[in-house]
Amino acid sequence: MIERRHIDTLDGARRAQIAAQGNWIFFSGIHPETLDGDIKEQTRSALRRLDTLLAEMGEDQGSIFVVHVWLKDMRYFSAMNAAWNEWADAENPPARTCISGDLYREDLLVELVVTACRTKGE
Amino acid sequence: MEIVKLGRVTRPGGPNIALGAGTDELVSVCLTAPDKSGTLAEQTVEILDIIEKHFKTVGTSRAKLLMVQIWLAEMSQFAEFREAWNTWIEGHEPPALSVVTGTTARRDCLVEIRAYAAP
Repeated sequence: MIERRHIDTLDGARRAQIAAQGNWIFFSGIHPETLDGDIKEQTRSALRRLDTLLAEMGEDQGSIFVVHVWLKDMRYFSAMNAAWNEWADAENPPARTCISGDLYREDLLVELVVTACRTKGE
Repeated sequence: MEIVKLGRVTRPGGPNIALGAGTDELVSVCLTAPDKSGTLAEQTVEILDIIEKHFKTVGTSRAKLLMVQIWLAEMSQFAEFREAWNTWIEGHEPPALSVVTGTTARRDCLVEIRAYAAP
């Protein structure tokens, strides 16, 4: 059975922030909580939000299968990495892809798309 | 379900990431070519061979590819990509394939590839 959590809208588009089935958990594009910060602050904020959503599912960053980082501009790559490295487990970091693309709002600099697994039992 | 990380990246000054992850249901690896001086075809084959090397550590191979995502820096190089890809996958059942443009970490990255395979 599919479990869906936080059903809301993204700029009017209906979505669930979390959809899970079997061993797999899919997260919507995760955005920073406020968009007034620079790329480092936006990345930190989005990663905090990711931690919160993972914890809600009883998981943590060790449960991540893949993170896709969408950057508004590849010039932010180094600063995004600095915030990422503060967050990522030094011994067991998540697998990641980073590509730049147009994001849905002008002031949104980074978005995380995450697939995780249930690793803590069930 | 347990996750095994593949291809831990530890380059000084670089991001602290793994190149891939594997479970008993799915395996996935993503990277750009270590040798950025190569042509698009050379970068493509280098990446695919490295992906398969990681796949083999968990018992899979190009024969069990499910889905491959390609990000090309320039869509004008699609024909060159296509030829390299078709040669590499020859003799195997092809996976689902997506090819779009996207900007990756460096200007000399002509292509980035994420592949998913069955374990």
